[in-house]
Amino acid sequence: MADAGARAGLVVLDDETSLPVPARWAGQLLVLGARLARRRRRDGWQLVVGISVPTRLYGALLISSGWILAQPGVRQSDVLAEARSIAPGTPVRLATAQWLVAERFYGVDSTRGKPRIHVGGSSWMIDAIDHIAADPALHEDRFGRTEVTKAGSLVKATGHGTTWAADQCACRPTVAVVGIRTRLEPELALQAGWAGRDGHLDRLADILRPDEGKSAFCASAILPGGMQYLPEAPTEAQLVVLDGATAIRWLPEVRTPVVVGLIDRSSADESAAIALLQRRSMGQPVAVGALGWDPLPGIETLAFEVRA
Amino acid sequence: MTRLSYVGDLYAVSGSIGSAATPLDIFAIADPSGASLDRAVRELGRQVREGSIALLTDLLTVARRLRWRVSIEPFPSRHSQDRNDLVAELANLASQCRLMVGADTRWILDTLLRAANAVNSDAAPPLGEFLLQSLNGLGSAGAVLVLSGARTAGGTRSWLRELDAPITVPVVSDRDKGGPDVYDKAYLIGAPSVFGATAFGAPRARNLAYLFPSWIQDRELPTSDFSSYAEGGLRPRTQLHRIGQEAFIPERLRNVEDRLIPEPVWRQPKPRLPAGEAEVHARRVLLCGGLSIMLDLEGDTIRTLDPSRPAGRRVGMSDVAAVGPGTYLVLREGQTESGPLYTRTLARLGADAGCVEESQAGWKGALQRQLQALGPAEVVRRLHARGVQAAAQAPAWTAQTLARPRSDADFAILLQWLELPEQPYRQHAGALRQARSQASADVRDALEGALGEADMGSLQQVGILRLDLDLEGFAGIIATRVIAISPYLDVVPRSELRIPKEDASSRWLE
Repeated sequence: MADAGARAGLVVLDDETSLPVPARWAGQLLVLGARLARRRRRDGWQLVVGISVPTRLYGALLISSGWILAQPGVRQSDVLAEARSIAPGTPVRLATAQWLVAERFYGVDSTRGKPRIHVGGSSWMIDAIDHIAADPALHEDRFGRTEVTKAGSLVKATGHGTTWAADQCACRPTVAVVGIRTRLEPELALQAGWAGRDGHLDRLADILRPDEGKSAFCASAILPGGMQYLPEAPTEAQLVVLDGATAIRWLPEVRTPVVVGLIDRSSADESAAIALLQRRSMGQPVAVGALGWDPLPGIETLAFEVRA
Repeated sequence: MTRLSYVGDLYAVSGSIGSAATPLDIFAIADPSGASLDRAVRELGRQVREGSIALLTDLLTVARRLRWRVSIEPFPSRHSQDRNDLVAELANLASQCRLMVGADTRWILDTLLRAANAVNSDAAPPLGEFLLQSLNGLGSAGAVLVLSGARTAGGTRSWLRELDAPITVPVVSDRDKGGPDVYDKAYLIGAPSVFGATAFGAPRARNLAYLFPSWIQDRELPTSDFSSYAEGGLRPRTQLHRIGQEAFIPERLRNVEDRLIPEPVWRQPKPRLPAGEAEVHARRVLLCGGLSIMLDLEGDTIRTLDPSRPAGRRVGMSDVAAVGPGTYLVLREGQTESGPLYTRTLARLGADAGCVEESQAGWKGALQRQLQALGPAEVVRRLHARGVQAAAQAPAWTAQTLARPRSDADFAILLQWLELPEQPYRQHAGALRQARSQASADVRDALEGALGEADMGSLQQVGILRLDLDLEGFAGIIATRVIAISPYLDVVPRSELRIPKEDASSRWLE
């Protein structure tokens, strides 16, 4: 994403608010997620970013949303050629303007007029399909149809306007948020948008599409941090966001290439800061400027790399 | 104000304070009676440091507590829950001490008693007078008062209500959550160290003012380690306002008893090793409700409660190492829960209970024989040498209520070392562990059920809650907040672990 959030254009809305309100703070957190996604990785090292904010509200989900929106858009030039290369019986992901479909692929039928693609119990006109890809590892439990969400002004502002259906179709849970689920889940209803652009606001739930074990089209996972062990993050996860002290205690056990620890300053619990500083003592400092991020006053940042 | 504008304001205000654009006001207010009390506490502290009379330590605990209340309570004595009791207790202890001490110390006791009586007054202290002037002068619109602790906040509310010209202003405790508004001005009653870095890290108001008696020397803002290392770390600026004269503290007393927030006086036990299996190392943990327990270091988890979580999800098991001041422990009065839990676990196993018990007795018995033959230290050493990670806990593994070592690898090595086959021991221990976690879940459900109706607000205020569960062996459950944990290790009989006992030293610390 370009410097979308850094300018004064980001607005947010929740169920208590009747008009979108400008929110530079939220833009900053989106940008942080985006910068981390775009940063070139250093082999064999894990990047850890600790940030302290006056309240944890929405922070973890905004950073994660920024990360997802910074993933490159999925373009497919030749759907037919792609379909022909798939072996019958293979599970596939498929996107039309309206549906995301996860099903078994049965073949291309070119006997009458325009080719049609057989997936699951349906057959789709080739022109209706925006994207198709084989996913041999996809489990039958996740087969099914989901409605495509339309791109809102934030999604458009980050360059996903034309690819949004395909992006949702191809996405994998590359980010995991660890925290208290009862706090995080209501925050998914937050809507963010880009003032001055066409379109509705985007719900964080539609950007993050957290994995609930049913759908193939998940971009994230929300994991409980209050257990006696660290729940396993999805294998595709590249970023883990640890939301608050209960989650940050797991820092030494997180293995993803990038980790963010979000410290809530309204909590008097100092264990989160201690856990981050202890980890830092084993690493090499990284200047925040080197991340391409220039936080607002009031956001404290500590970045470093540790050997993975 | 909506939640989103609150969050936006919080970021803006935090940035303004953190970047020193808006200074924090510090008002040090002259308070002669409080200053006399402070001096007397310091004199007494010096005596305790030099002398050896245990009762003087108890007196010092009470005197510190009184000084602490005076430093954070802006109201007359009658609105304070315990200032009267503290002064009475202080007088009682002082009169007992008088009989044991020399003339010098007797003089200190008399001064202390005079000072204590002077602060136990029906008039508002200078701290309160100054607060009223500020509220009346600048107007209380947009203001909030922040007090240390729910009891102090309650006392402040009743004081403001009963004034000849009552003042209506929100009064909160520092433990209350912030929001839903960022106020214009917050008056924090107490020195900056009382409120921690949270007060300006997540400010309740655009402008913060700390008000406290000028005999308090420690006026520094608390620092957070994270801020000092982080880029963009908060660097607030303070502006000191002296109201009246500064208190005089003689040089020889400057560094005595200069810590305001009362801490327990721990007595260091004579170091010794546990004698045999029946004794273990443990720390004393002071709890709300005038209680304490001895908490072992070997056991792995303890039941805890988080009152800030929604009903039905408050109870959990926490690592013993993670227990600290502020943690709520769920304890069983008279007996630990492990006995009744074990009975319930066997009931859950049904017909298998017999062979599981027999198989458990098999490997535990073998371990017990090794412990007796070689001594615990040697057993630990040998297991450690063989790669058992948790070797130090080996003596605890003989306890009937403990299913097995936590790690699979440790258990396998242990069985090998005891020259026992892996099966059926592993299978039976596994079954026991599973049944135990089901039994534990039953207890948790019953606790959550009982807690669902209990008043979490009052738990947070008084620090202790008593519950009766409708579950065999689980009547008389208490949830209580940890006040402090002793830095010293004590040796106690295993049977005394985790059993709440009355403890006078926690009484004045809550």
